[in-house]
Amino acid sequence: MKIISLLAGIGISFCFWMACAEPFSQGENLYMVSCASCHMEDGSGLGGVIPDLRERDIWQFGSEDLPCLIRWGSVIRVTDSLPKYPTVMPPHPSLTEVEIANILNFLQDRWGDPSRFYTPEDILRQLERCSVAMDAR
Amino acid sequence: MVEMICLRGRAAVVLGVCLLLSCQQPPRCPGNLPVLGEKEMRGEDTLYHTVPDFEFINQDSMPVNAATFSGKAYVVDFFFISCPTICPKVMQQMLRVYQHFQEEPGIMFLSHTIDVRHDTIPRLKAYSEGLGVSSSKWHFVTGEESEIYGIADDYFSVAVKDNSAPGGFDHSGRLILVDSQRRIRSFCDGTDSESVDQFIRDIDCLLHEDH
Ligand code: HEC
Repeated sequence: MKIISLLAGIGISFCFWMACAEPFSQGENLYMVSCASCHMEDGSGLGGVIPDLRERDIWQFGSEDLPCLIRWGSVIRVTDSLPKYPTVMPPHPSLTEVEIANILNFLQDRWGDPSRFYTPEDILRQLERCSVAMDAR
Repeated sequence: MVEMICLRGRAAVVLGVCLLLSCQQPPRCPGNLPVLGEKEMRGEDTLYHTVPDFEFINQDSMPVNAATFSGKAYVVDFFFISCPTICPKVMQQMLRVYQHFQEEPGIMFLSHTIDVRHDTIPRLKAYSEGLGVSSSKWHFVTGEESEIYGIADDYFSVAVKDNSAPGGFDHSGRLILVDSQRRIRSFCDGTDSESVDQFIRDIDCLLHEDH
């Protein structure tokens, strides 16, 4: 009897451990497929050519435009000055708002502020705002 | 007793000298690196395949040709700035190799764009500055498209003679090592960091070969 409960205990904690280890597994998978070729699997980017996503500033200040940046790519960043990077981020038109939320939450959790997360509704709202802006151009 | 201490002391000195020597010695190199590509016997001499002449232009609008690398080995790759697939990864590895040999005067770097229409000289300049590398050691070049594709075929067909799919080099992330006599001596898969580790050891060996 004791052994059975011990085993069950181990089993349950194993399941918890698995679940806790990768709480953002869809986001992580999508990141590895769509983003890691440029930003690298560890988020380190490429020198001053492709941004390092581990920099905390991105997550603290700019995150309002991130859904739009992912959907539309660098063109969304209207800059008066010279662009900061010599390469551009491509658009990702096929990612849905749920997928964008999952990717951003994975990134938030890993390198940003884990207490902040996006719901698909947040993403949708922000995307609507920037498609209006894009249409107006 | 005194003898024992002496003996131990001597052993320590011997050990220390050995360690010191082994630090200065080149990495374990089982003989010289092979020369890749077709060979031709002419009398007593073996003629090896060499990289043909080329004429490109770099990020500082300076001409780059075989004379630029005279007396030095160099590492070659092909890329384009807007490449969303393997290029950033390959560049990251190329940068790692560059940083490893930054202080080593015997080796230089040559990256060719395969998108000559978009990758203009100012863009190549911005790219190399973004990477923070010195333009006297690492040339980012553009030129006649046909010449770039031609020389790519040359580097790769020699490096991977037995590869059944030599075409489509733009999908290959290879780094290629050329010696000071323009012979191809090693290559690796720039998307695989372990393959690049071995490549770095090969460069070390090449730099320690006596000619
Ligand atoms: C082709 C390479 C490439 C791909 C693929 C790519 N990015 Fe980017 N990313 C960039 C570049 C270049 C920038 C800088 C863009 C700019 O400032 O205009 C950037 C910027 C960013 C930023 C803002 C960083 C900052 O410092 O402002 C985030 C966040 C980001 N990317 C996330 C992603 C995510 C998530 C994906 C996958 C859905 C992705 N990127 C795919 C190249 C890429």
